Amino acid sequence: MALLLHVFIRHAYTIKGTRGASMLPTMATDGEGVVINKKYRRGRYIEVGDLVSVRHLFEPEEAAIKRVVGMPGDFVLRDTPGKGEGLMVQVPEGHCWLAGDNQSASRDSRLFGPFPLAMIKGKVVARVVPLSAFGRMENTLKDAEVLD
Amino acid sequence: MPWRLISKTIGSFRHPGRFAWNTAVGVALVVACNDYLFEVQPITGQSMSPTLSPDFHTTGSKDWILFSKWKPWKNVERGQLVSYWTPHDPEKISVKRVIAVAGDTVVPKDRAPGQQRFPFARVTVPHGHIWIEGDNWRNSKDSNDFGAISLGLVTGKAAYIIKPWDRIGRVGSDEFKSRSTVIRGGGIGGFPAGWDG
Repeated sequence: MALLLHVFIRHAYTIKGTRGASMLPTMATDGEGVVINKKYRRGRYIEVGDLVSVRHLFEPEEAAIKRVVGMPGDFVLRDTPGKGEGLMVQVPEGHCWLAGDNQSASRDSRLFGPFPLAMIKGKVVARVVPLSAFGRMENTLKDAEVLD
Repeated sequence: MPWRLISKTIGSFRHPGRFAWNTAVGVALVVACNDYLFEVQPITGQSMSPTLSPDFHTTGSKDWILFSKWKPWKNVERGQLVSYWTPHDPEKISVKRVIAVAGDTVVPKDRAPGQQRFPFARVTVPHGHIWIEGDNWRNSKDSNDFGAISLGLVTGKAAYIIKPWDRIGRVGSDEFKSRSTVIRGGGIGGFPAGWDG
């Protein structure tokens, strides 16, 4: 039974608690639980705008949640919008560009550069704690529309 | 005792439910073992020759390696052979030797004068990262091309060659020669600028 649960957690779905201010206002600083779908591990089927759970780049036992803002081949702004020299960089093969929703309190690709897709553990698909915010978490990024 | 097990196994074929359950548990056992304890994999390619699969480029013969997979990012030492997800292709696993660990300074060396592989003359391996190289430096895609890799990409440590029979034995952590020069450093290695800001 424990064995089956192990395999399920590693290859199908898991629920994790979140902590930290980097994803405000999408996620609270503490005490939220999210469902992570492991089908998306190693960046499979990931699209720009998705929330992903990743292995920490410097502390392999830790995990983090960030938003994907660039996939291989995309051009992204290297620094915080409005700061720096406005340099655009191309995301290399096998990598993505990560950003926290709370730009002033997030350690992300602006500091460490492109992030290997292989270290993506899964995609954040739903929130289960707190119950008042229970529900699916969709990719809210939309294509640009032409307005008259 | 073995008879009871065998008769139980045969008996379970007559009960579809029990058979499905036993199969599921069996598969889960194998998958969990491969995920967390050990895995056997063949080595293709010639980047680790002559240490692993020395005849791959002539006869195509492969060494089969037993990898230890329990917390592979722990106690990674210079000289060990590790398997890792390649940074340029998230579905590909490769095996190389650990040349330097966090805090060490590496002076990468080009294959030939004028053919620059790494854009910096020297580099200090950051915290939580390792510098890896193939033993066959003429034919290896490694840290000289893509830089230090995160320990989070490491999937296992090569422990034993288990096939072919005449090459059975331990691998890794021996004396090794690296193409690049390594200046051993203490400490935990650095973080990117602005990490603590």
